Amino acid sequence: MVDGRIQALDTPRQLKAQFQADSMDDVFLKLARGK
Amino acid sequence: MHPIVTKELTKKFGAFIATNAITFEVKEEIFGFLGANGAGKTTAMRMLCGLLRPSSGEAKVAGFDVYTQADKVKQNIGYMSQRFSLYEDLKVKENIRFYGGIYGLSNSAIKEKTKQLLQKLQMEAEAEQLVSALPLGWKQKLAFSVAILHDPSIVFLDEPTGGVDPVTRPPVLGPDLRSSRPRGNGICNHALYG
Repeated sequence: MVDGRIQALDTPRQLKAQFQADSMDDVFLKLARGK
Repeated sequence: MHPIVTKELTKKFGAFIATNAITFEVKEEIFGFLGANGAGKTTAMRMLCGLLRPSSGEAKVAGFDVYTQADKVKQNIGYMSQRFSLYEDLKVKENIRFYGGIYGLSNSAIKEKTKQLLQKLQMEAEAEQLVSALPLGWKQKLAFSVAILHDPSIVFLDEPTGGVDPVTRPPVLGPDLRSSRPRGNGICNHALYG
């Protein structure tokens, strides 16, 4: 969630693939920074 | 039927939109909200628990409407809030008894559940201690355990590991959660494992 909205909705594995992230922390940071 | 279904669920506080038209379905699974402070996770969770009336949109939890059947929703869920809902001035045993009563368990069920819970948590020796005297990790385990005392079908955990070291975390998010076998879980946290 970012600013009250759901920005991404999927399993942790799919989210990591979608955001090319190694961890959920990375997914979080990329979403929070709007990348 | 999905345990949790929302459609365009929104909560406004004056001009501020805390939760903005969120739509999702939770199957029989562990489901997590991930987001920064102020992203709207707790607001969303409180609406789904029947504790906060939405401004607009739809939501059903355990098949019950959060607007018109909030009491039914509450009977079918367990909720562990960001700040532990335990009463610090009550003893461990008294907290379990109190929540058993809140959840509508009979006296005999409360007695049996208390015994089982203290054994499971290996807290028999602390049964007569005030909760305020317990280490944080123990309070956390106790808070989670009382949230599922009535065997709810859905459990909402709002930042259940906040302020607790990683060594203490796994038992809360791992076997304890899975062994509770709820139909759908809502977990709210800043960090997820995976």
